[in-house]
Amino acid sequence: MPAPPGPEAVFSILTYLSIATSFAGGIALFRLDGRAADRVLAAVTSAMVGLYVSGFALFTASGMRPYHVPILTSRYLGEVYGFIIDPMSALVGLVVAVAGAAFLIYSIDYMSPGNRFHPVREGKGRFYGWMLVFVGATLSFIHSSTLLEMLMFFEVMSVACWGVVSYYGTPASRRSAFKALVYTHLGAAIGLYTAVGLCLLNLHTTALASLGSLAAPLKLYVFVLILVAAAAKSAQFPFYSWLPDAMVAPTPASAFLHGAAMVEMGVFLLARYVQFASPLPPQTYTALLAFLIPTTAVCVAMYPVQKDAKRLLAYSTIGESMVMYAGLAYAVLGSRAGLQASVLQLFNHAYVKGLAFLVAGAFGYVLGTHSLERLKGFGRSSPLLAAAWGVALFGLAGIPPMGIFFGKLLIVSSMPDPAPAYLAPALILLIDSCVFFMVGIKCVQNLLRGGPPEGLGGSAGVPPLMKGAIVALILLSVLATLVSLPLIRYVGFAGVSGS
Amino acid sequence: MRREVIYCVLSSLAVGSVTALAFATRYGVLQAAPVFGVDTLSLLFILNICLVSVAASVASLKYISIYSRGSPGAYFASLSVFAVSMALIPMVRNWLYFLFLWEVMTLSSYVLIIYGYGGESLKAGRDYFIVMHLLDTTPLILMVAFLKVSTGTFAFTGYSVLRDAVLITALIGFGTKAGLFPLHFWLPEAHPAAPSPVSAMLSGTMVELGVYGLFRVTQLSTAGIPTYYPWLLAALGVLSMVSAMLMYAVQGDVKRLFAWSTIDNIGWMTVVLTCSLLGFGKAAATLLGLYVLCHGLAKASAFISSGGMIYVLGTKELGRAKGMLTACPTLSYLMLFSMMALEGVPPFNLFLSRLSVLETAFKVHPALAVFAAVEWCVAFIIFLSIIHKYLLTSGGEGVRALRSLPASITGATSFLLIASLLVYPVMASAGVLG
Repeated sequence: MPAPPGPEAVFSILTYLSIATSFAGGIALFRLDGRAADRVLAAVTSAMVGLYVSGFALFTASGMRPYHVPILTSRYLGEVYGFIIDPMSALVGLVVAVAGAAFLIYSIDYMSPGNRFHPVREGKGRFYGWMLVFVGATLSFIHSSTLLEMLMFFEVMSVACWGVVSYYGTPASRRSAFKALVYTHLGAAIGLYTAVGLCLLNLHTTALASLGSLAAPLKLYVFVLILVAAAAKSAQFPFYSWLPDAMVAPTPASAFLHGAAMVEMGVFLLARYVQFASPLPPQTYTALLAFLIPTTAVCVAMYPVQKDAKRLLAYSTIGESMVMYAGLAYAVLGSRAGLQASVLQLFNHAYVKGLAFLVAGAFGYVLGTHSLERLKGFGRSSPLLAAAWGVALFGLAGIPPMGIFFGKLLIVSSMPDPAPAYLAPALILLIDSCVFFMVGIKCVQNLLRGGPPEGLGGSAGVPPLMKGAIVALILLSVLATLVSLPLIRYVGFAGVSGS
Repeated sequence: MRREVIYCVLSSLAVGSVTALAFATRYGVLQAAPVFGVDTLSLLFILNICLVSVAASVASLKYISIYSRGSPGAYFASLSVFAVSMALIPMVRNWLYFLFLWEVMTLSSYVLIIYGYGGESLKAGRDYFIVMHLLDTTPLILMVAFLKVSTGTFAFTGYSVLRDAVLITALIGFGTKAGLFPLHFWLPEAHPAAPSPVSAMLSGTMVELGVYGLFRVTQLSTAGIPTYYPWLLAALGVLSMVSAMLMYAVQGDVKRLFAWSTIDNIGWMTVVLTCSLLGFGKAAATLLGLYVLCHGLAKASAFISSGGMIYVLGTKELGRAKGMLTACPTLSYLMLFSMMALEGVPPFNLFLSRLSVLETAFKVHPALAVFAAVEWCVAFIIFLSIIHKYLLTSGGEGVRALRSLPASITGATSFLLIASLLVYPVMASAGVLG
């Protein structure tokens, strides 16, 4: 008689079903349109997030012990496909599922003929389809157990990103989508493919669990290669310019790209490597800083000159993922707290950044523009949007009670040793936050200045699902910490037990 | 109006229950969680925060009707968050919670400063928040990080590694919040822009928390304090007093005048800090708490009565308020008593606190005590001349009352003035004076 399935089997199956639902729903949605597409999207999204959250709850309840199943193994490639659920992947996956669901629900009302920025009359299904494929690919990437599998889903994500960015079909959006695809693929080609090759040559497998047995110099080379791929994905210097251009995407897609997927997956990729390959040689710290310091310089120079709300948020994403890498800079030095803080920052950032985009999208919906100047006095006609904009921008600058405060504070406090050389990540983080804060407070106050713009319905013009998603994200950006702060202590180096 | 009364009761209840918790913890009724702890210093700070916040909340009842924009609900909600976060700060014994509450306090005070968002208050609010973020939050984040690296925990524990880095970041961060020279410049800008009850809380309770933080950090060092540090503090305190003394005479705006008086008093508190680092630690803690309480009550009554002036006469320019004595005698006397209380005229209890400061400072260095005494006299003379010039002149240019003085403002101010007569008698009977 077979033994009853343990909790491992149940939460893995729930997670799998969640991924399968988003892929299957996504593919089905390509052929639908109009209200039918809305209904299917609502059903698929609820199923996806419901399954994932129940899997997560069960995983947490059973003590967050890492669990790994190889699914496909080959003689020449070692483990090819596998499934890992551990505290890091579960926390990041939860963000993708929950924030992704909020953005998808928001898009039902956003993608409508009433949108003054970009009315959508037909072809909603295609957008929903790409988005769900994107969600599925991101979740698969997160739960991958090998570098090879990560590489494959890395590329699927890039393609899905191309799909959503080019959605409107204008020349500008086609160009930006192409640029995003080329940049991230270039990063993958230089970095990830080579890293996979190096691992295969030396270890005959790309399983994450075996990365720890790489020789010390190889660990450095593979680190740098993965860093290149990650930097391309996260739009770090010198690969940053695709991200502001990708702002032509529909706003819910931008929110997903910036808040929960794509950009954060670069960080996750590197965090995974650091987690499994640790201890790493100290040169990795220098290599990482070589990317982060110029990125900070770009952000600090670009924040003040932005005229468009979405472009400002794009640079903020570059800055915030730099902050997550700053946590990893301490992690490569052996600070477990740095790794934890980086994941916490990823987790808490998602909701605040998502909120910022959803509010910017609502501005576009009502006003037909994302120009920061045109928002003057808008707070008078819509207190909800003004408050949400304040929560989002102050939150991004690291003001509590919004969650990013904890991310930034924990990253700065995870310095492994009191050595002056280790101050650099903390200082660039603080400089970035201060400059963003000064720009952010100007943008927030602009909403309160002067009278309301002429001929506007105010927040009455924002449809209910969009308002609901905004309110939900305001709450999540404050409450996310209550989930991440207690659970983050489970995250650690190479915690995955072998199969 | 009924809605405002409900909001006011709720916000008073919120801060009152935190205060009750603090008392219950101090006197062993409740077993506090490890992140909380209440000693006499904490208790005196919390008491000050509670009394001033309740008075400010009551004084806001009619006062905020002069702001046509903005909603009373949002105002009282922010006021409650501001008061509760401040009241919790002296209770926590963990730097993570401390900084979180500290930042919530800064954010809510910003929201209150821009309440009504006229052009002037928006600009002042923005400048305030930017100064706070750059010179207060950022150094404090670094300080907390240094403490974490040094001790491996966020809990309040003794540190010795990175001592100087901690002390310098603390001085900048807490010094900015306290308005200590040369980081005092934001104070006279932010106070006139805020609604008067909010100014009362900013000056009467918030800036003092900067001194509180500095006291805690310096006391936690297990490697002693570098010899220059107490004298650096003393020098900054003296310079704060000097700059206030020079600026009093040229102030036309009554709220700016009181803001400078806060800088002056922060100078006095810094002298107490200096004493605490030079062998008077325990006595200085109680003295600091009592000074803060006496000053907070007097300062809040001064700001709330200046709110009465704005409400009744529609101006905060002293020059335009001449003849207040005929237009609204009650207001005139309230302001007079508030200024007396603020300058430490007996029987107001700030007199006793200042006397103790002089006594302790004399033991540390006679010159410090002599300087403080001279400064006290000079400031008193300036305030006396202001009282005679503006408050006690009848007629003048025939200023008229636009509205009548609301009972809520009269009540709140009288309450604070009476409280500032009772601090020492009550504390003596409770055994705090030792």
